[in-house]
Amino acid sequence: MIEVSHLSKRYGEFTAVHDLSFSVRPGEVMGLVGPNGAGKTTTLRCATGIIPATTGTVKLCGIDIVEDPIGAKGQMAFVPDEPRLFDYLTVWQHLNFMARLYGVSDWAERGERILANLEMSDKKQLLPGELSRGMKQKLAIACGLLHQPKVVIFDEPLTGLDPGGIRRMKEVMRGLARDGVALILSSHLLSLLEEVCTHLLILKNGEKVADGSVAEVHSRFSDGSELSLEDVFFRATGDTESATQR
Amino acid sequence: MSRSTEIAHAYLYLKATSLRGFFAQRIKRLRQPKYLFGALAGAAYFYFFFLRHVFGDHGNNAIPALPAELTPYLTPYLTSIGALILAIIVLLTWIVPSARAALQFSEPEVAFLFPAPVTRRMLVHLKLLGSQFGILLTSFFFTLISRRASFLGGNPLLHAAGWWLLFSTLSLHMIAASFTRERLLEFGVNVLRRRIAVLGITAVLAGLCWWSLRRTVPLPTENDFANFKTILNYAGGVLASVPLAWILAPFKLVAAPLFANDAREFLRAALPALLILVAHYFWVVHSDVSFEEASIDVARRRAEHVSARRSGKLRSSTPLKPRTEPFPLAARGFIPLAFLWKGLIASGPWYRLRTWLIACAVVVAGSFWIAADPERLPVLRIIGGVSLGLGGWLIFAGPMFMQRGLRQVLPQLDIIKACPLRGWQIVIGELLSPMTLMIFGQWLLLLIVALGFGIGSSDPLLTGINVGVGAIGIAFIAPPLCGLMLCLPFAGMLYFPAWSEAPSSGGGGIEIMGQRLLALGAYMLILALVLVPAALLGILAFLLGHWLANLTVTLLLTALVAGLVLVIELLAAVWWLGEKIESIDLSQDVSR
Repeated sequence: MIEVSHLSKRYGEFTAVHDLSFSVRPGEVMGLVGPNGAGKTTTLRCATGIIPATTGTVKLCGIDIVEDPIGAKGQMAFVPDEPRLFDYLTVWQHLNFMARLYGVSDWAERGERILANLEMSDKKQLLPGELSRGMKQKLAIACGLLHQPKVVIFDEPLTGLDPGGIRRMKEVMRGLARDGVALILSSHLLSLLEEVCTHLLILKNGEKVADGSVAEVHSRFSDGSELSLEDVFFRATGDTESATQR
Repeated sequence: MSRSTEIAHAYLYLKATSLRGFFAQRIKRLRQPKYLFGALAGAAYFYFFFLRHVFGDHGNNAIPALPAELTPYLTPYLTSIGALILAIIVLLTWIVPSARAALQFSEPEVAFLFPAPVTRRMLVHLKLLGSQFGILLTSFFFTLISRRASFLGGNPLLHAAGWWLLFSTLSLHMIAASFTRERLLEFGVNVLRRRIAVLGITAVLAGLCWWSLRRTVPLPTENDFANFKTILNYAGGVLASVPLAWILAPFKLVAAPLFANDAREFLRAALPALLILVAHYFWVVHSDVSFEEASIDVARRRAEHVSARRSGKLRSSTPLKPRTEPFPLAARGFIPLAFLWKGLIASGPWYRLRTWLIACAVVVAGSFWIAADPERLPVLRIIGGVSLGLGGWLIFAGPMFMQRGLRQVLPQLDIIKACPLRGWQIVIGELLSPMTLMIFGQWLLLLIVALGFGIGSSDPLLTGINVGVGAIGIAFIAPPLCGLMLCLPFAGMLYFPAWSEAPSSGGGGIEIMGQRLLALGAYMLILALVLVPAALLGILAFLLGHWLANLTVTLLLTALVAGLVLVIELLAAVWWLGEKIESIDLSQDVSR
């Protein structure tokens, strides 16, 4: 469960995120969308405790990330857009390393299972340099899932993936949601969000312009007609020209 | 205007505009204090150490000029030595390279020029034109450096022209050699056959030279090493012997302008050198070989290399096979140990405890074998002395080498900060690998020093026990000292990331060099301050021990007190840096 309340992040005079509140419950997949510079990355970074918020609170599974960062981060996995792996560690050694960081005693059995699910069992002894972009992304996910997080945050998870990789990635996200994990998914690919997300949070200029279930957001911006998420997005963000052209 | 001239103009425009943009960007960023101060420091360094020597003011630090009458005497020797170095370089260009013929273009140049309507010969000309920028710059710097250490006279401009002629000829020879190697490959002469042939010819020539030398020049005696002049005389006799002198003759022609003392001498020397340069030019432009594919590959690898260096990596290539683990990593336990485990895997298969123990055993066995014969004891002392010097140098230089690895922490810090780790755990984790590598290296050197001075010592102070206890004391001080010294660049990186991230800010340059000089100065100053408490309390302990007990106990007590002070300082530094890591705002503090 993710609870963000009154989150603001300021850089001097510039406000990147202003008074943002939202929550993601177990089993929900919240799509975080917005134009470039809307504050998505800042929101994600504050939510993961990578950067401190100026005001507001972030709770992961009820644990305040400022008061108990270790407890909160122990419940969470963050999968960045670009998998940043260690050149000299094999796939299996990556899992071993993560197991020590998160104190996962039965990591070997879990690792075997996760790699099998991600169709990477035969890649255990390979180095990142020998993996394709999609495989690297899967390894980053495997590392994130090893400690069975209750909260998973994906930043542009489909970057550089081939169609097969995209399909598998969607299955992974749906599977996590089925297992009761709360997910945040930041992406510019609206079709992905439409397929996978149960909820949406649309940001613009650091402020929330829409929040709720996909159906609620749809109904709020449609005038009775059938609208795609793309149309909803343009209406919500006030890009009327793009919205009407479609 | 012909097509070739148009292309050449376009290429020159590209180079000149890029250069102008490069300097404009450099000047523009001087508005930032970090670059301005760096530029001032770098400029001052350049002026005091190089520029003023070029224009005649040799100052107190310059090598004094030799008497004028010696200059003509020395020039032939220097020319011959220069020719010998050139001959070795040229020989290596025919033996070592195994890559296909390639012209070094940047990736954008490849992307724009190769698909353009430009002939292969035109590309060669563009390459030669482009390489002149680098050659001129290199000639300038070599003039600065060689004039700094020059005891010969001559005009700086003629000196620079001499360097230019030499580098241009060498550059053309390397291109021509690569084209010829490619052509040989087309004729079925592969790398191995070529190497065998070149080495065979070299062996025959070396044999001829040796045979001739044995007949004409006697073996050197003690008198030949009596002074600088006798050494030069003997070396001159060797270099003037036939056929060695004939082999070196063309190389002497290329090197001669560099050692010209006046304009007349330069002109006389430059004419044959220019003819050789022109001959090389025709060799290159008339070699019609395919170099495009290999050039694309070279450009890609260069771009990868630059990118890797900017991100703080020493190598651009990724490892090819998995490495053994230094120890099994349990899932639970002291978390920073995971960073050490990862760091040792990355360091390579040699950095293992087993290797270190074998090295120690070899050192012990070797030392006792040397000491077994009393006549060999001086050798042991020399080895000990060299190791002592090396160890002392490593204490200060080691963290400078190791901080490159620490620099990779910043780009990964967002990932690491998302893990459930305390700041101090991250700090210890990141320090552990470089600390371990340095400490084990220092301990090994310390063992060599202890054995080198301790075995067979007849000095009443340097007894075996005293040397051993002293070594143990230093071994105790080494880890916290090493940790503290690594904390300094780490702190610099966390508090002044823009200063420590110089490579990513756009290559080298006088301001980057100045920044490094300033960083080095700050490093030495803070280090001195950090060492003051340990030194003071260590001296107190030494005096107290000296008053109460013998030297052995005193040494142990001193090391213990100084070491404990350093441990306390290290713990404080780790806590302080950990707090900084927890509070660092990556989006602000680490902004480029």
